[in-house]
Amino acid sequence: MKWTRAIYIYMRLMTQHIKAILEYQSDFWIAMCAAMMTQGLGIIFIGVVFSKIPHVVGWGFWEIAFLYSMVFISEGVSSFLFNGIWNIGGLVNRGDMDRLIIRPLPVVLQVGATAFGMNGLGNMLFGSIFLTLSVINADLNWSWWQVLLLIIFALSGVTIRISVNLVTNSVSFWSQGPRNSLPMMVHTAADFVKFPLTIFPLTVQLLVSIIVPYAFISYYPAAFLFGKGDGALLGLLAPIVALLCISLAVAMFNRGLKKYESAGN
Amino acid sequence: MGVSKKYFSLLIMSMQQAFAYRFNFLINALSGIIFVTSLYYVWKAIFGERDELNGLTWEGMQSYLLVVFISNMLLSWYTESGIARRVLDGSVSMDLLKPLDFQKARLFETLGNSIVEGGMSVLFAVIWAFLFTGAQLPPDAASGLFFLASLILSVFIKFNIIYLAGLVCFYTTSHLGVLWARTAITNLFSGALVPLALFPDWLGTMARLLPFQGIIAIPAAFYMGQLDGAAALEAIGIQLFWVVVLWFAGKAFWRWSVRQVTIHGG
Repeated sequence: MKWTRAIYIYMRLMTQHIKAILEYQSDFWIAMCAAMMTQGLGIIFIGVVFSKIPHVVGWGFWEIAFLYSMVFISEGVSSFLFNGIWNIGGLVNRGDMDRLIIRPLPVVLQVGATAFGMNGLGNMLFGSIFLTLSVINADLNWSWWQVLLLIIFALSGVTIRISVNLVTNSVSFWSQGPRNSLPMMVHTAADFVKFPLTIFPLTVQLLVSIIVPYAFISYYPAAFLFGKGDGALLGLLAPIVALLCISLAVAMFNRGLKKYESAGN
Repeated sequence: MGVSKKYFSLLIMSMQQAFAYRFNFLINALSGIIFVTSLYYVWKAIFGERDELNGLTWEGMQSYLLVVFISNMLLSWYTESGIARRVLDGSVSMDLLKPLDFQKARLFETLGNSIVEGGMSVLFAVIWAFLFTGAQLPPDAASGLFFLASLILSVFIKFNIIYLAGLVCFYTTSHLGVLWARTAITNLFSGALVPLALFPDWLGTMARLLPFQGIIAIPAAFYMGQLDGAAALEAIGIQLFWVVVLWFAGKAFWRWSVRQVTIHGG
């Protein structure tokens, strides 16, 4: 199957979800507002901190806001378009994966299309607004190549986020339990990269750089764009890390799929 | 007697359940640890560049974070999503048939969980405080006792807030967004992220008018020995006030929501 065709079908599947969700308008607005509020309060937190102090380890308010926005955007796009990944556990446990395997479309894409994260839209919206604001307010002369890099960094961040979710959720192929708490826990580890990595001890730095490479979503790209010494050049690796992550994640998913044996009799 | 026995057995049951799902507790604890650890290093970096901030020292902040950790551990994400899940998957309709008050039943289940999780989290907290030795014990016995009383009240406040958020799920098809927003609001206004003393005036006033301060700010103030005499009684009074008000708000909201459900039939 050609990948353009696959993407076309994916979009069609997602559109059906959107139609279904728009049927429940109050639900739509509650999810949107909840997401915006969650992120807004996060920004208020750093606002409060920075109202008392001008810099934390050399990073100003808008630079930290940049880190936050990159995390929000990666979170937003991955839950908006690929929220279905979180269903892998349920699909395996109930044997519903059968239905997806027999269809002529990559199973990874179908799994991604089993759900649609309304709150992702709020995250994306809020993340983009704050990214724009922090880009304008951060003390930098932006040229075209930096803007181009920023877009590449954002795309890499989204890819890394999706890959990590795919890996942690694919664990369900092996554990087969109905509930898999690992994804949620790894998900919270993104809290670490909302701040300059240098404030954390080496173990945490290595953890979010190598094992769960969240640092390539926000910190390394920011360090590169703002020229913040330590690890600045690593920022350029973000797209490579992203490609590596997604190929590993898809490979692991497919491995798991081979191991998958339906539920019951 | 018979009535309270029903609810008490729910409490015991949820305690057993908490023991049965130890792994879930562990994961929960790890998420809590990630949250507090990231805060710990953020504050460490901030205090690395100055000795004090609005009268707060690094030692004080470490004790404060210890309270944040204990309080957050007392009611886990799992307990919380449990109420929402009941509403979402429709098992609430079975609850309607039972001769139990829904709110009271959930309260006792939550308490059962909190006793087990609370016990285990104290263990974690001791290890945690041991690793980051800056945290200190309350300055005197009275502060310690008030802290415990206030911590117990904080569980009731938090339960009520979680209960209200869970009932919002009558109107949505997914609970994650609601729960995340609830967590974000609670974390900010309870003072889990930043002590209320550092808030700008307008935000501080807002926080003091809201119930969330009773979850962390008040117990933490007791722990650090900042409240005595009339101020201590006032703080406990504020917590009691919110426990009662939110309880009845939950009752009213429940009655209203159930009527909505009946309208949609089924």
